[in-house]
Amino acid sequence: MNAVGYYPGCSQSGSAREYDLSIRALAGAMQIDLKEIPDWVCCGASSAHAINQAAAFALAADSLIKARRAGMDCVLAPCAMCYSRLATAVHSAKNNPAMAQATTKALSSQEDLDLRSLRVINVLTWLESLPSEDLAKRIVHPLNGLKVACYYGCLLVRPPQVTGARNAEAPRNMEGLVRRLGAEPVRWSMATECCGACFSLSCKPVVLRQGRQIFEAARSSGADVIVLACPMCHSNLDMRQAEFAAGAKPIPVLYLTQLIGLAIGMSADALRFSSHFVPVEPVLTAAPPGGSHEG
Amino acid sequence: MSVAHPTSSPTTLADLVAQSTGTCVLNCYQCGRCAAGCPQNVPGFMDISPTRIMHLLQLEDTFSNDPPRAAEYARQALTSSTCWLCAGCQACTTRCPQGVDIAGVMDVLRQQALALGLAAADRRSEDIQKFHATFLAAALKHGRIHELDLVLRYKLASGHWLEDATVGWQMLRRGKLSLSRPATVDTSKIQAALRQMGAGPDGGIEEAKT
Repeated sequence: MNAVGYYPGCSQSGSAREYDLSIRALAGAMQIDLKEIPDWVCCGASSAHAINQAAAFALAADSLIKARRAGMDCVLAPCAMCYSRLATAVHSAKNNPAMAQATTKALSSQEDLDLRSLRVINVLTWLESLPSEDLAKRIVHPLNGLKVACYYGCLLVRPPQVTGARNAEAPRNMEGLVRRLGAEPVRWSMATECCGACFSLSCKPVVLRQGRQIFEAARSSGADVIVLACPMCHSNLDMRQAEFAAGAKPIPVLYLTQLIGLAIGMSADALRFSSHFVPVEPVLTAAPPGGSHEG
Repeated sequence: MSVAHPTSSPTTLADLVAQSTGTCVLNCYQCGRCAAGCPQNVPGFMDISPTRIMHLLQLEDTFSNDPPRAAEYARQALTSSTCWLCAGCQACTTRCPQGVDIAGVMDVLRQQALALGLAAADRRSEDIQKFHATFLAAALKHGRIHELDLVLRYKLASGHWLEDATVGWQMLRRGKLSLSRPATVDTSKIQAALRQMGAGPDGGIEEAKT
């Protein structure tokens, strides 16, 4: 069994619980051992780096030090925000070693802990790293004919200096994964536009404006579903959809791992579709779990 | 041509940017790509475009031998709502042909603005400042964020009690807001490390101690 370090992040035990459950279930099905970092702390999200750079590095470094101590050399951070903060901390450790060493020493009283060789990965990188035949042989409900708008948002790809994205302006790796499920990614223009992120609470007009633009582009591309890999993007596009797209036919918003779960035969209950604001039934109709499917 | 910025003994905002991001705003030639791709550089949101902010930092650096004039350029950049309305989407940093970390410039401006008491005081900027301070204080105090607690604390700070009451109720009903607080993780080492490093401006550390 393969093992990978796991940094769940705060929202995975609250507003994004269904994301956490789908990742753990998928890992279980693929016989991958997710080892949660002991006593991980909040990554600091948008707020720490906005107002206190030292706190931003220290919060991220604290969890990375704990991962190192637990013998991990690769950490999966499914939330795009957490991923960005942890990967940025490793990037800073490489580019600003004096600052990083001073903080690491103050946090751990262990001088030999080096964060530079730690690899932080997001869900896309993790899924791409799995042998394609392992996934292929588990697909019991191919999502044939399902039109999918792959939405990356910001931090899975930007800035490429931190993410290592090969094509930050027009990434295609999520499309590749979606195709492997039998679904059909649409061509659309808003895949890497910002959803407004944490302004959902502090400056809602931003989220309504960005959400409306993303929604309208997905709608005009003919997408049946928007698929993404970030709790913040999910809450902005799912929870607020009734506000920014009132009167329009809604588009369900799924985590990529939920879409894969559907294809490998997980039930709607196990995937917690009942927690979504926008009903997921249209996707289930296109690819009924447990039902027969031609293709 | 691009130049490396000296980082020893910072005196200007450009120096602080170099120290923090390793990039030099003097390399900006005002092409406007940052402003063009910025989702927040639209009427009614940012008051100064990101490109203009880069120019203000260049002017402050250029006229550093004329302190009153330099200070005026710095004041314009620091009191602008632009850094607060920046969503940190990183489009500008990704696209800058001169390799300037523009999103990193916004981090420096926010922190300097708070440290110098110059942060923009319009309603939106103030709400965003309160949100960040509330969030960071909670992270440093408890180690993990309890979303419901964060929302209530932010509402207490901002006074926006009625906004999203319906959405909040639906989140609770759908099991998207946990009523119970997650496990608290000891953050005393992080707080001690920040004090040891003299980490300012205060980003909620004082509040976190209470």
